[in-house]
Amino acid sequence: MRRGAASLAFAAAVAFAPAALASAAGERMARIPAGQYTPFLRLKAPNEASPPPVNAIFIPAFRLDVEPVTDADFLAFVTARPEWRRSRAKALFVDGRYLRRWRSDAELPDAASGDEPVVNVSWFAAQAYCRARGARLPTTEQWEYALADAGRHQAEVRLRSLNWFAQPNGERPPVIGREPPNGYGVADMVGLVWEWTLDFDAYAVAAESRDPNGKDSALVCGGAAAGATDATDYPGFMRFSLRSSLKASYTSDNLGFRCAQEAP
Amino acid sequence: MGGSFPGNGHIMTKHCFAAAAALLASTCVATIASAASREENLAAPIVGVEDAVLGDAPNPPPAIHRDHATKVVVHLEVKEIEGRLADGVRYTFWTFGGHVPGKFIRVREGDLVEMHLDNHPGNKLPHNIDLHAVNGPGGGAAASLTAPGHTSVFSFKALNPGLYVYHCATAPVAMHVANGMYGLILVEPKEGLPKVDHEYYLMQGDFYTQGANGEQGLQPFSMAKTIDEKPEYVVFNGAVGSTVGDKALTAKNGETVRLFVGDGGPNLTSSFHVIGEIFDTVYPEGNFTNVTHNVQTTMIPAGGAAMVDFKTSTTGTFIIVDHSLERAFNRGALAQLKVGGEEDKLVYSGKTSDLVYQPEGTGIRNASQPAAQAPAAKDKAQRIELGAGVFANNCQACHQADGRGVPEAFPPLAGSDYLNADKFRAIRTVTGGLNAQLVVNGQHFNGEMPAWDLPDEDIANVLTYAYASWGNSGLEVTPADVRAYRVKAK
Repeated sequence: MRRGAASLAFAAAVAFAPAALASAAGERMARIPAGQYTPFLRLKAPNEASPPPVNAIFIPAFRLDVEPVTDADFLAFVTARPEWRRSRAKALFVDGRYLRRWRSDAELPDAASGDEPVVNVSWFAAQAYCRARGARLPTTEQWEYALADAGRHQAEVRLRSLNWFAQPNGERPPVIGREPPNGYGVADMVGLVWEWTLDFDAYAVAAESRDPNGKDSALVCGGAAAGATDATDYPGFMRFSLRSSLKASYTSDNLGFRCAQEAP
Repeated sequence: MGGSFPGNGHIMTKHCFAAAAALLASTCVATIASAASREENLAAPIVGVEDAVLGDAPNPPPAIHRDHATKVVVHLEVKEIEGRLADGVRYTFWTFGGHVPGKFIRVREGDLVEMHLDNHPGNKLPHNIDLHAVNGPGGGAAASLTAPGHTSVFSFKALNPGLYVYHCATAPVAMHVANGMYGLILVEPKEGLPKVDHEYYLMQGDFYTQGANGEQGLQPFSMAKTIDEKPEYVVFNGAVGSTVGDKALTAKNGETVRLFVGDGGPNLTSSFHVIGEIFDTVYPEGNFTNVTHNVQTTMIPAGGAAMVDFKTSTTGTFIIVDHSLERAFNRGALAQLKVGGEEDKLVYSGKTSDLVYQPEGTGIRNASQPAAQAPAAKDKAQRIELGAGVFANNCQACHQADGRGVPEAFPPLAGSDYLNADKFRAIRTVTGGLNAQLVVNGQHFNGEMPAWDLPDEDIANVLTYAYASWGNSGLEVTPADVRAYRVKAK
């Protein structure tokens, strides 16, 4: 999975047309087949007293990046789209920590960071990157469906996720491509970074995660987790609570993204 | 009624005095004058502003001497940090302020508290805070879900005096709490608390590691054990041995001691007890109105707190435990209070006679670490290093970190003639237990030690450590020695 693009991109100034981005990216997307998926959280309409019963929903086929977008990928993007350079990005779209680890507008922390997932990018910046490739961020349901991997090896996925939380912070993000891809051919969805989703805020109306009767919140926990389909899925709760805490301009040391596309 | 406790009588209410004269003395207690009503606290005008003085366990911040309500600004920084859970055991704690438990917050009833929750940008998780001292949705949690690198601010009026737990309430709540996200906030009554000589801050919590108790290295959180409520560690102040040896609480004989004790959980309650002390006054569940006296053990619920006051009566080391005893002696819920000064032989005589009594035999102490997981030492230096961890986890509670034991109870290992005379006897003693009178360095002990069902490697390491420490002979005990001389379990 490693692309070894770091040295090339670190040298920077590779003119990148959106079309080139799209075709390069096309080689490392996986086709996720259509299927049934039971959402982790039950969404409740604002005027309903309780969430509807859990029903599996149908997810049409789509394409998803095999790996998170890397520093090298993102450097190529800001080179082609200078309005997304750190010094030029509008404060409305990115907070004060946008690309904060980069040495400058067009320099990665060092040559070795090209294969690390890009972090400290806002939702706006991530979505702009995906659009430049003719893609978009995956929806939360698409992302969770890809992680669920038709039920394959879910215990290992949860364990890898929990072990990531035990790793001390402050170190560099691990490079992509160390873990084998899942059954859909998608890799590194947990254990590297959090990832933006297109509709991250759909579940994020209220911040009090334990209120089972919250007017708007689907994120109902309280240990009893009245709204969750699997109260023992701690990493699932954590993904949803992380999404709830975000706003679209936020950036974070442990938050990156990957892109999705409609399946042809 | 409180007579042994100077300082707690001066604020008895008139009502209380009258009732004491007329009714059962034991039902009316020397206590804090009834606090202001919630309405009065709500209406109390706010005069001025100050930054909260916060305290790291075991030291709460000093008492408040203001005679009016003010605005108190509290900054709590959430940090996810790696630290020591037990000797050789590392854990990634999630903290309010860099330590477990979180910073002790102290305000006065009627105060307007402005909370700033700062989530460090290096953190992975969103966090929030639920203070049980708050009247409002989620105890503040609804207003404080905070992404890494951001700060949330909200304020509340401290309407109800008491000692309260605060904790993180972000999903999954039990995991955030299990990783150490709890602390205490004291809302002092406007009259203040009875004056004491020492105030200390202890908080119990249960920890769930993927490795078994004692397994070395960085231990990730175990979701399965948390859900089963089966912790590997139950500790005071965030680590095994946080408050023992040279970190023990201290006082002098005749001084008054107050313990602010909380239980963070997430799952276990605490049967809080100080061995060899009777609590003169307990403020159960952290409330200041219905206090009780002469209490041996007080129950502290998960997510609850209590305040206990007592006057020391003689000297010695007093062991603080969760009296659900497996937690104290096998999982770490053990702290120490060392009382110096002059002993009082009338209060406590010490041993006055020493008779042999034969119980039915010594029990076998199953060590928590399975044989397969005992790390193998490559050389003597490593044997000593690994032995130190075995000692801390199994032996230190009785023989003490400095190897001096406890006079008249647990024999010393430091400079011990008994230990140094015969290493094979030492192997047999540890593996087979002991139930006999023995003389160590001229002192008589009624030796009663359980048999330790530890792997050969651990026995060799801990004995080599003991021989290498405290002026002992320095000889090495190998696993082959242990194999040859150990007492086989039945």
